[in-house]
Amino acid sequence: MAPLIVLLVVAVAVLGAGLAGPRVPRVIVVGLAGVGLLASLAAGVLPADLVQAGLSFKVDGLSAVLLTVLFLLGLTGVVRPVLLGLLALVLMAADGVGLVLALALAFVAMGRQPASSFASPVSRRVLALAVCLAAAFLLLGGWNPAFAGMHAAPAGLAGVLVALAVLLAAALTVVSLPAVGGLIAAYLVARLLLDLSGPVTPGWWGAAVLLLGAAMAVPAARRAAQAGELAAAVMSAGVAVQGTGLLALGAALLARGADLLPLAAMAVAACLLLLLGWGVWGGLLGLSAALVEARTGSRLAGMGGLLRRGPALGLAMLAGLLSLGMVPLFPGFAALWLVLQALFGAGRAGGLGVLAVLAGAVSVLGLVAGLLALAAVRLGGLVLLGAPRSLPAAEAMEPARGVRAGLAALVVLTVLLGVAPGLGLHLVQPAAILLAGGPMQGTGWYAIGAPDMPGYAAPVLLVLVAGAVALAAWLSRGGTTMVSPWQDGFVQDGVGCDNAVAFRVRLARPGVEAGTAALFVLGLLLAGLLGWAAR
Amino acid sequence: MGGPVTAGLTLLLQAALMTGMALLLAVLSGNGRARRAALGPAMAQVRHDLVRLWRKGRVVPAGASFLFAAAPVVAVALAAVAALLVPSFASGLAASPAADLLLVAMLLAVSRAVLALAAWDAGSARLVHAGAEGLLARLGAVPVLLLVAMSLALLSGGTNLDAGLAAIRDGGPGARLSGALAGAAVFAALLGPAAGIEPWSGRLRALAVLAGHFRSVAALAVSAAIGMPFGVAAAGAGPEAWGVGIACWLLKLGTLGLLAAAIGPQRLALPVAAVLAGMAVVAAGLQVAA
Repeated sequence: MAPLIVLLVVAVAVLGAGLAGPRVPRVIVVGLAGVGLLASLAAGVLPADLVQAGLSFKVDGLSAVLLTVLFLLGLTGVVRPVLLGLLALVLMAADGVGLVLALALAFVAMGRQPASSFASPVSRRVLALAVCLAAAFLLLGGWNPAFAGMHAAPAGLAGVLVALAVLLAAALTVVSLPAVGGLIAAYLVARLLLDLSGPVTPGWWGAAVLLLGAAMAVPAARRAAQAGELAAAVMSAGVAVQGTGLLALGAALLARGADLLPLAAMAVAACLLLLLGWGVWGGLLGLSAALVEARTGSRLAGMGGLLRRGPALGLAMLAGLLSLGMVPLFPGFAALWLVLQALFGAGRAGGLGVLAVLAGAVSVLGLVAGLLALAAVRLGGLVLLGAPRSLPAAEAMEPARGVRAGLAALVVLTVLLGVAPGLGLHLVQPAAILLAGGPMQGTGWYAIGAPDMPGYAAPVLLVLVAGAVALAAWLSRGGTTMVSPWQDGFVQDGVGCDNAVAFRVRLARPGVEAGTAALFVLGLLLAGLLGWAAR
Repeated sequence: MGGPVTAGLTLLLQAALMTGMALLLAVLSGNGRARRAALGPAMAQVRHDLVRLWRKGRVVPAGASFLFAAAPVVAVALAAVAALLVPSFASGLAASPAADLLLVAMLLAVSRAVLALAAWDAGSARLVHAGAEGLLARLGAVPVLLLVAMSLALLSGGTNLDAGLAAIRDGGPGARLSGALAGAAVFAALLGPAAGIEPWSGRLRALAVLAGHFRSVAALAVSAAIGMPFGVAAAGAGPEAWGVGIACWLLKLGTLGLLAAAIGPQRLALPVAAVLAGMAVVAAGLQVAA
């Protein structure tokens, strides 16, 4: 009965939110809601404990990691203080009412238009979010909104509705909170689908989360490689990283659906390591981008030459870009490596249908990683290298000593997480235990990977690379001749160029993204067909 | 076997093999280009070019940052490390635990990207566009290599090349078919456009050229390791087995190098590689299901 009531309420609310506007008097919407409320009361389905529910807050392993990420992003100015506070409440809420209220307030705080009428986009999103999450919590815990009373897997139609409601709420969060929406979406998925839904969940939830992650990551990565403004590029890159985190959570759900808890623990750890690392280097990148924009304006076409005119700021940004480009020895690569291991491992768990879905997800992740690497190269080239392309860029100065100290601290943290990713993994183990019933196995302080296979040992790589660079530098030593810039063997007049626009146009042409998206959709179709045939 | 001295010796032997093969590829690719263009230099000319560039010293455009001069050095170092990690004549060598396919692929990609990045510092718009075009053209290689890694992980449980080589060699026909398809995919992905070296001159240009050849050797070695895992000395075998392994490796790499030089860069290389990699994943999945 409960799922039917929820469906009815969802239908009425969505219909009401969609119709409200100049042509449909508000009284109709309010009237519909009032009728629904009265009907609920008459049927006795709105018990007193929901009305009187006191808000409760608690920090566990999952919320602690994400709070750390949020704090780092807030410290570096990526997240505004008001939003930071509200989102901290979302992460700390220990019951459904508190979570919905805090998230709805965050939506309103981020809305560009005042939520003065039912017809405003913010109002519609808040309403839809509240309905989705209320439906999910009702199905998970009945009329008791406290998280402590949940942890039972919904079966049948209820399971389908829970997954759809959570995914819709996560998608709304991604759309409504541009910079950190993916972080909160990942939290909603992890909390509601992995934590509160009990130890046994259907595997197809994982496929749905993979689809959401892919839909979030690919366009964002493309925007990051095309944006004409530095802040937009950095923010889009962050969204793509958060989408990648959702891909890892999809793998965790697939693994748990197949009862492979160690693999699920690895996937959860991979997601949280990625997000934790992003908190550090994404904060570094966001802070350095803000400092650059304050000096040169926001247009990439007006920047250039920062590495020579502001070496400290330039090197800090370079460290962030190396992480964004998933370069080995930096935290982005370690997390990407672990996410891929989780996706590959999940492929061994299921049949050919699951394999097809995962092959699509791996292709998407490859495309996202490639686009992020392109974005890192492009941003590095346009901001750090070449000649300044505007007067303010030519006069760019180093930030104050205190800010430089902050940047240095973030660079040290970035390098530490890159060279010793096991440190980060130890921080996220409590969350893995919470969500997957056990810690990720085979995690040392410097090497990561499954216990029975050789993994990724960053310090060994560091020694090899340092030795090779030293040898190559020694062999190629000698005096350096400085000459005028040349082209085709001739001295070139006019140094520097506006590459941003041309690069963007060129990137828009190839059908690589379309091809990969088609592959992913084909994979899903194939999975459905194979699953149907297997039955 | 075992012991730090043996480990060091095998590492040095592997480094010597890879460096020798990189220089050989320089000659082969020079001859291939010359044959396609129906003109030009033979082996002696290629060697002469490299020596001439090396003698010219380091030439840097005024106004460039330290990255311009550092990029070829870093590129050649990363490509050489990638080549050093790939299994060649024997399993279970000192570098085997670190021989991860994802790591090797990423080292090769960064080796190429660092050159494209430094092109921004050279002061020429055309070179920047050339570098960016080169990177865009290689974008499709990332999903291909990840699918290859997926097939390897399905067969061996991880992405370590040494373990993957053993799993393919000792597995059934399905495993060997998957390995052959994956190896062919890596080979096809290699046949894309080469990285631009125009921004550099003198010794730095020679390093950028060498980095390209090290990248080719590493990619061909990966293709040989998972596509043709025969003739590789088993872990713990003695120097006699190494001799056989070295001869087989030289034969495999030489053949693949000649083939790559003869075919040259192809526009359809990446789509073909994607299809081959997808087939490798399906074959590996069928093998696991069986």
